[in-house]
Amino acid sequence: MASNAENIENLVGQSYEAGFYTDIEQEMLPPGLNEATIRFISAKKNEPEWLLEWRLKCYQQFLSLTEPVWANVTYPSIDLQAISYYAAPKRDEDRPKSLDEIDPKILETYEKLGIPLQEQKVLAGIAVDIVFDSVSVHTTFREKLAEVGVIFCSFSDAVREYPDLVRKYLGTVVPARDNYFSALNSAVFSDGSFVYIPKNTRCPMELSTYFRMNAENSGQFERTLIIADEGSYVSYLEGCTAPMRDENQLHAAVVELVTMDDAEIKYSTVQNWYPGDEDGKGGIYNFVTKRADCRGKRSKVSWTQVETGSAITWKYPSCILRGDYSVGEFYSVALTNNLQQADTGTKMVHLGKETKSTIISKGISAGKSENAYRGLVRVGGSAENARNYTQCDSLLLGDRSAAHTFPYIECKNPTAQIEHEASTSKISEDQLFYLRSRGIKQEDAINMIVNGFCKEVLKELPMEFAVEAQKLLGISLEGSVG
Amino acid sequence: MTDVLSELLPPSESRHSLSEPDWLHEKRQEAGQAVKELGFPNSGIETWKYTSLHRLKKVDFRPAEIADSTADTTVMPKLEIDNSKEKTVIFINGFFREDLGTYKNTVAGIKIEPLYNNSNMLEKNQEFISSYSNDAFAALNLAGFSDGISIEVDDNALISETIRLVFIGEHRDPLLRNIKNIIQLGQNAQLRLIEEYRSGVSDFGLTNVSTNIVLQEGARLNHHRLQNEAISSSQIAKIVASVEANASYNSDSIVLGGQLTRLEIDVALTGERATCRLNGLFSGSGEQHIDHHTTVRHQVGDTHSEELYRGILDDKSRGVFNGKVVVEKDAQKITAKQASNNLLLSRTAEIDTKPELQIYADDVKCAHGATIGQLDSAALFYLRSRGISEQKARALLIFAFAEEIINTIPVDNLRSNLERRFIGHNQMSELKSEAC
Repeated sequence: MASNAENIENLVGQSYEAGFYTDIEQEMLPPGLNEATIRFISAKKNEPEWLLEWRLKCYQQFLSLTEPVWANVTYPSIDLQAISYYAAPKRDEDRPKSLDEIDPKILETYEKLGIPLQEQKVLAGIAVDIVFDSVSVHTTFREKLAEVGVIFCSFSDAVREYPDLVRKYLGTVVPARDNYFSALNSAVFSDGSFVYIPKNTRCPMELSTYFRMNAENSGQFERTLIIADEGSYVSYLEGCTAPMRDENQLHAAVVELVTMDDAEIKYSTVQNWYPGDEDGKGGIYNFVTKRADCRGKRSKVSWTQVETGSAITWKYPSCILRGDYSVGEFYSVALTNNLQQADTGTKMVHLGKETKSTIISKGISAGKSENAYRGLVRVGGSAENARNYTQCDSLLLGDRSAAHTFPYIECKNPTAQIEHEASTSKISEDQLFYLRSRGIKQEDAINMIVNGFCKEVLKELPMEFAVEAQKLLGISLEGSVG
Repeated sequence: MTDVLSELLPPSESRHSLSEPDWLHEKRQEAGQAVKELGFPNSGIETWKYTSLHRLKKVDFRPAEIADSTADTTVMPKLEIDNSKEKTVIFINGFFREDLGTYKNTVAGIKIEPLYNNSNMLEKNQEFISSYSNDAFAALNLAGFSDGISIEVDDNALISETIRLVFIGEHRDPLLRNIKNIIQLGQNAQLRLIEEYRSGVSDFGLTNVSTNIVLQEGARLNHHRLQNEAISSSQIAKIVASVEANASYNSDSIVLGGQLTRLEIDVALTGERATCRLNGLFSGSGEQHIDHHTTVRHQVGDTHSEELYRGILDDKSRGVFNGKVVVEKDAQKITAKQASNNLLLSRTAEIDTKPELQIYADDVKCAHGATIGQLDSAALFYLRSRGISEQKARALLIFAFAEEIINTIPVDNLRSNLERRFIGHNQMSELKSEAC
């Protein structure tokens, strides 16, 4: 694995970033989507022929698909021709010069989350001339990963350095035809992350996009591919609790996970993109396709998500439980406030014998928001003794908000056992009164109850993340209760 | 082959009778046009996702005519009716047969008539009769309905006799029977109604029935619906109920027979303290397909609903349950409960269930649950260890599963008939004595 170690060293080193800037700084593709756009992107990224062909094939599939309308969300139609599919990263001169130029509301949030000043600058997209302590983070990080042979790099680098691995797995979990947005992503994806965990390896640290400094350039069509080979384990963290500055309205990412025999991936997301203002203006459309293929026996994938941002969230992290005895888990907290809309849930497709899945979903709707859980549990004829347990609870704050549950349960095997429970209610007056009578402020009392409501999910998050997520829930709910 | 739904329409210029009012004739023409445009619902339509009509399309149906109502009554299915408590109203192939039923219009407070002769009732329900939105079968029903029943119960009338509507299908031709029923209960009126569908063993017909129920303030309707047709007949049915303040609608849907049964129940709770209870029990074997779509709309505050559906699926049968609860804006202080429990008995049976909640108010307590499983092996073992054969032990457990719904039916002979059906005709008494 010595060569791998070197590669990682090259990848995470700062020379990459610098090189990136000088190469393409003046490049910007005019808005529009056609084959030429895709050829341009591919050429710019020096991609091999097979990848270009694959992109073009996906583009053809995309043309045959129509935008899905079944989700319980409404938004003006998106003009895909108005988007520029290739933009060089912003040059330092175009960025905000200092924190004074940043929306004070965002700064206030940083303050509340307790984010150090330097990090605030990075998050806000300010040109930082000295790369603060991330250098040291990177160095220790790099050494540790190299020791065990874990590959963790940007998608573009993976295409260059590990074309065989990428080619073998890309598009095998989310096929080109899967849906409108994933097909679009496959045709024009910009960049993303690639992770490979070798056999019988336990990744020595939690991998996080937050530490991969070039993540900010991943753009709106992010592509992630994680492969956990036999007997390996990795915990992957995506996003961060701080609101990210972002100019792109449409985000259509694709995440593919593959687990072999006895492998396990734990994928945690905290999503807090700009939700738009109180009148629902602006905000990110987050249309993401996430899917895990549990190919191996006794493999396991666990999705944990805390979704508080985005104007619209359309996201169904799924598990295909192909291997016998494989396990899929989905833990989710989705909080919507003001005019946010969320239609999120999971799909658990049981194909192998003795496969098990657990779904715990907590939806909180406040303000005038709409929050829907949409899930599928499908048990195929071959899934002997498959087991599913689903619990989805909704909490309503305020009489203008809405909560919906759309669970699809399809079963073709008599030995399967499926249980589904759902409830919807508002915060109990008794609980609130109890806390108030103990001298706790109304707002704090509600926070406390909401955190209790979400506890089952929050405890699945890695520790630091969980602490931040709790704070985040409180902040997102601010002003929603009178 | 009936590949095109519009082939099931009656000849476009025909009037069903001279007395048909002009507005109805016009609406029928419009609906006929809609049928042509809509065609057979396909799996791309969310509410038809799990129900395929490919078998129906293979049958060359023809709309039933008045001449078909004189079908041979000697081959009719045997009805188990308790004449002391029940009055029957009988339809053959979609047409009212006054001579066969025991109900005569002599009971005070209630009026039962064939809908087609009741121009007053038609007039009053113009809006319901003319609406089909985008439902192809509802449009087909409007365009082609031959007859149906109209039931009116006066204010404050408490009808002690149970009314049993029996719709019998029997013909050597595959008939399409379009039936439209209207049931109206005045303020504080009460009625118990059994609606039964039967067919002869050689019947291959399709019954397309649409029922409108209006319960005025404080009224109470107990509605027991029994699909007991031959395994070769099919049915597509729709019930639209509106329940006003303090009124309550209790419905049981029992589906035992039929090749394809599709039942849509749409209840709107429109006044405070309106309640509804929807229960269902379906048992499929062979290649039966049983589909229930229910919707309960809580339109105002302080309305309450409860729903329990149980399905038992054997052989290659397939069950579909879609239960939707909608709580509209400002409808506060709502309770809604829903459960769908299903038993899969064979490797080739399938169940697709989708309990939905759509909630736009905050002061609500709504819950739903769904389970799918097989017979509990521990319970089976217990019975076996008591010397009960496996076959009987299974029958007993299946019976116990169904019993929870059957027990809620307060009509003695209906309940005992169902008990017999569920446990197999001969085993019941034997089992009961053995179990004791």
